Amino acid sequence: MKQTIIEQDVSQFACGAKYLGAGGGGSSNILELLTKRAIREHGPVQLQHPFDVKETEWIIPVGIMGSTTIMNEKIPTGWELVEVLRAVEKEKEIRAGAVAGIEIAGINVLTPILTAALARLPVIDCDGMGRAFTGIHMTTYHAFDISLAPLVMTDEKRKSILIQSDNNEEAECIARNTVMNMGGWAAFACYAMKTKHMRETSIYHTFSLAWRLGRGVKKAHEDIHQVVRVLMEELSNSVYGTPRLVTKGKIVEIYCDMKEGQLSGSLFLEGRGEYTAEQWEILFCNEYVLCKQEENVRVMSPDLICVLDADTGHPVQVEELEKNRNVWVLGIPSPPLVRTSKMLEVVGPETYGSPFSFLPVESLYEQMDAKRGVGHATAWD
Amino acid sequence: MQPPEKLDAEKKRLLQEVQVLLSMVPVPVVVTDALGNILHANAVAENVWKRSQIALTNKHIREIVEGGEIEALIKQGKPAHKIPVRIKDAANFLHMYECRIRPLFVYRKVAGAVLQFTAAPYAEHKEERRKHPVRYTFSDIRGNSDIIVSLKKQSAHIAPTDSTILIRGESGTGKEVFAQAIHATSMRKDGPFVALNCAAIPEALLESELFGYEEGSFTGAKKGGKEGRFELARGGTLFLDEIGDMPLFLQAKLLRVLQERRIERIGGTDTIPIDVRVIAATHKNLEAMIVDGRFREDLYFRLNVIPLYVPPLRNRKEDLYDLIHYFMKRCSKRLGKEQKRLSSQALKRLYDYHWPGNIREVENVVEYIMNLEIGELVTVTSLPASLREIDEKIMPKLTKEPPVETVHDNPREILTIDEKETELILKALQRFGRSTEGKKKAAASLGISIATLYRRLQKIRYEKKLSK
Amino acid sequence: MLRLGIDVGKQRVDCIVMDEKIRMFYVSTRSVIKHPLSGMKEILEEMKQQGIRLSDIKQVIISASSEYEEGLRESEAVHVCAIRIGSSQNSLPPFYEVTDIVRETVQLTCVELSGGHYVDGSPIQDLMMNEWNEKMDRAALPEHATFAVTSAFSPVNPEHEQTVAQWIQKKFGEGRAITLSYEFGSIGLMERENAAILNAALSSVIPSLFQNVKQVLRQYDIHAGIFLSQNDGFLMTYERAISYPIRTLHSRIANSLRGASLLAGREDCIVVIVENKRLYIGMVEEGIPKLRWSKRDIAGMYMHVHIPEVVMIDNIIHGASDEVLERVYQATQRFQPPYEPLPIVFVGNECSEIAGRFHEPWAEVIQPEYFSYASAIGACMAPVGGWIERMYWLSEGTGKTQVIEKAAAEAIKEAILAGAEERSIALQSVKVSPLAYVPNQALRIQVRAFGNFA
Repeated sequence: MKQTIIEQDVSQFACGAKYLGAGGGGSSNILELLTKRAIREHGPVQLQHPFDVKETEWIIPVGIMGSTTIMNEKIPTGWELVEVLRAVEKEKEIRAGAVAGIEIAGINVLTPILTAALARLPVIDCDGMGRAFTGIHMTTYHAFDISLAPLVMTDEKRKSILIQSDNNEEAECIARNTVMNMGGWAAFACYAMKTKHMRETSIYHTFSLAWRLGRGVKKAHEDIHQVVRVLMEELSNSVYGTPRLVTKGKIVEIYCDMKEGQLSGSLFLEGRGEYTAEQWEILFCNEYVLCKQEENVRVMSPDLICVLDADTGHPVQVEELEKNRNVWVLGIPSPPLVRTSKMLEVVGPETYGSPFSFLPVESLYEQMDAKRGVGHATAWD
Repeated sequence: MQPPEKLDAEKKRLLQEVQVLLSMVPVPVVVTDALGNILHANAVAENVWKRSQIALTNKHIREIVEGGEIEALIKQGKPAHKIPVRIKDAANFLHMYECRIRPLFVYRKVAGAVLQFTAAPYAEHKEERRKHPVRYTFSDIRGNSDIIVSLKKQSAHIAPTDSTILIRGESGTGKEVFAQAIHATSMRKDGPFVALNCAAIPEALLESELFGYEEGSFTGAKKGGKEGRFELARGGTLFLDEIGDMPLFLQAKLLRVLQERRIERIGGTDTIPIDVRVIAATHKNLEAMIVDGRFREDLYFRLNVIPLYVPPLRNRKEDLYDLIHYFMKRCSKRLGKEQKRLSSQALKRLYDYHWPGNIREVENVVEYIMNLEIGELVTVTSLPASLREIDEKIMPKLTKEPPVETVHDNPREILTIDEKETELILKALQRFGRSTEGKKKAAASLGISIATLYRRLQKIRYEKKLSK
Repeated sequence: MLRLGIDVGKQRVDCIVMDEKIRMFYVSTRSVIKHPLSGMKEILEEMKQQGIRLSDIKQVIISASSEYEEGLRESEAVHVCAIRIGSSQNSLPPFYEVTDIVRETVQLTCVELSGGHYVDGSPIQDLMMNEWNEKMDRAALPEHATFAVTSAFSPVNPEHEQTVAQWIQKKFGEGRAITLSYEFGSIGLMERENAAILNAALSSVIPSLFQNVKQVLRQYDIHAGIFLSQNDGFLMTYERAISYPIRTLHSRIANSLRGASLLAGREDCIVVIVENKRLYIGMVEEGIPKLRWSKRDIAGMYMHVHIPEVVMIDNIIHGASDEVLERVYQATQRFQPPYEPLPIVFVGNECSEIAGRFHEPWAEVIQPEYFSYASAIGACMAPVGGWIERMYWLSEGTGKTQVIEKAAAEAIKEAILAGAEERSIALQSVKVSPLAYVPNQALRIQVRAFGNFA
């Protein structure tokens, strides 16, 4: 297990976390450079196993919310994250013993590491989503009754806002509306909790997994077959489970709408090679949410729909979708905590307007295999 | 439109039609010209030959298909079917297929051929493998702790050799899984994997199991004799589990077999050459047994060519979380129940436990939990006794969600079966309610009949009355 | 009236001469042993011997790429003052990941000023003259320093950059080379800043590089307008190019793509360029190379450049092996539309081997005559043009149509500055797209305009 994070590890975290984004999570070269610099100047960061933390500690998850596009223009310094951490400490009259993740995908795999480096704290190898989700209430922390507030947000000019509320959804709503007024992005800290609650409500080992994915993918040198092999191997040997190769094809049509800064719409895929003539539709709303072959749903959020560029093996984020691109689609089972009924109330199909009830990708495929009379020992290669 | 353009458009359309039609065919199809040069290949063909079309179109049919006189048939414009051939892929591996040829003619001259391939109805090796299939590969060895990662690497490294391996480790650590994974990665992977557990077979039968017997060699011997495990494993791997339980006289025989690479069936006169790779395993302390004279030192050295030490679970606690969730996922699917969350206390107990039964014990504990815990949060009280014993004095603290209350707060270390039963019944009633409908559901979830439930409830009330 | 096209590659110089009927008149090539200039001289000498009237040449078009990096390395005193206008102090400095070589060659002074704009174009805070004076006095810049000014969200509102440009001229005189980042369009402060800095560095080097070229041309009695190829294949007058050298760094690929399309006579096609043991696969749509904002790593600096979208395959040591063929095929599949396949055109001086073995079953494969001169031909046949890319924030008074008109007008201005004849200018494309994760009111508009030589 990864225990120490050094400068050279940072790109691997950033790379691996993109695959867990299900199309979202954002990307930022600046954040990567800031994190590397922070480790270079302040020393390596300890990655702690949830059970190696003292019982009496307070743990504060951190992240950055808002538009990464804007963040890449109105750039952060990194200290905004420490600022919000300290503000929550002050509000609750506690001292943080460690930082944790909120969202393991995209840029928010780096924000806790950056915070930890600057604040000289360890990061706990856990997060609250296991993938990317749009709202900060869409976490296992919230599903299992950890209070979101006190929530502190700040921009690069260190103008901060404190949100207090008993109702997590209300707090999230206020935060979301405040972000635009703050210029488009903000660093934030929230869900302050004691060790015990972290152990009960977080998804373990997601940072280590992101690192292992990144390390394996980089060794694959943009060969998609090798990239998929890495994904299969590492994800099978984790709380996620074995991914399913859904289809390979060409994007023939994209419908995309921007509403309030949310990218939503659908893309149409036509199967190629052994998947010829298959008609696929993938719906998205900042992240991919539903993947269906004609009328049959094959993968549904919160399970992760991972779209890979067939030429490079890089994950294609929703904002990068382009017609004519050849892609492979993988369905990755979400971690068990994310599939519990409590969490599904927050992130399940109802929340993205789908009439279906959640079915895990494994059983959706089982149904299909049963109909076909096919046994699938290895579903790939 | 000018005629040439029209022809051009028609040609383009036909070409697209051919491409799409070919891509819809679910078996490999190849089109050649009259000389056998490849013109077109479909997507399935690309998969089978592990080459893209562009590489295939630079080849001649003889470079990628062996046997069946295919080239001659193409040149002669002769149709044929069910021709056994061997397809040679990009890695030079041969695959058995049957070929059907349909010639193409233009102006009465041979213009080419379309070849369709279907998988051969038989395959020698496949038959063997089906009898003794391997269930596990290295991907089935779960865990990311440094110690297990390096062991996997080490095992994968030595797998391709033919050297004998001795796997050491406590029981329940997955020694057979390692043995199977090594077989699946070895050069003998197309051969059988035959296992023999020396502790599970009575001493008297062990010899005949290992070496086989000839007809008439003892009362009850099968007509025609029986092959021993060494013979069954020909071309593959023989896994001798619990080698520490092999009686001394057999150890001697085994030693001779390993040295001479030949066996003699019981009651037989011929020596039969063997072609196996041996993997042995034990949880016993062989070195101590040697000192005691219970294990032969010379056999030890012959087996211990490559020792592998599978660590006990307590040495790789980081993997515990993944293992628990893996088994819980399987169990939840089997029982049709939702997966459960573990309370901090329960996790701590699991984490601090010394796991004498290793991975097998984890599987059992998870099954116990999944069956017994009715709520979504597993508390310490739902753990098996062995785990609760650690420190019963500390009561599980309340999380934000009120836990299902236990009616009997028993300070004694182990509940009696009756007490446990009462606890379960009361929990179930609390969950489903005491109405008739609720009692029905409670009985169903407890796995007992309504009548039994009513009887037990009567008993509990009676006892309560008494204790008052 | 003749047009001379000079294509300077890594290992060779190609020259072609075309007459006013756009017919190719003469081609020649030389290997570059020492310096492209000597190759050029040799070809001109040859042309003179052949009896070509060099004084008839009215336009000289130069397509070059890597020479600038050489130029940078060879020159001595390159000093850039990078001025960053924004709201975060002490974040990453410019040039953060640059290689040692560049760090040694380009002396950098960084100055941070408070200011910049929000995504909607409103100022974060006003520029402060006294901050400017104080920091510039402390900077102690040498005489030859050039300037690169980058402000947060300048593609939406370039006011602060323009104001600082005025201040620079006031303080240091009119003759200083100033690069304003908003003219490079892309969103992403550090990437745009790097592009501006590199541009500023190159603009101090380019004039001397081209002095030599001008000298050679004068020697041979060629009094022609000099044009340089831009990254998108359009031409720009030399006078303008010296202010925007970064727009010419990647022109050869665009020229090869255009040339391939012309030689093959196919407006829409996929092109495979093979030279210097490398393959580039790109696409031409309606005669124009398909472009893309790409992240390029130039000596450790990441910058966004608007260049042809290409897949690059390098280290082709084993010629046209199966593996190489498959990679090329896969790359072409990236560009192929879903249904009717486009023809595949092979160009570049090393393309014959691969073209010979590339038997694509479903598409036309073409290796045209003069395939090794595709880049020179593409350069010679290109129109003069310019483009702009800006971000606009829609509001009550400013609707979509209005901002598009605004953008179009600016693009036309760019084309005129590039040397196009005003009456011949036409809009080639107008692209409007929203910005990811930014409310609908933010629109990214890119307009390209082109015309004939003035």
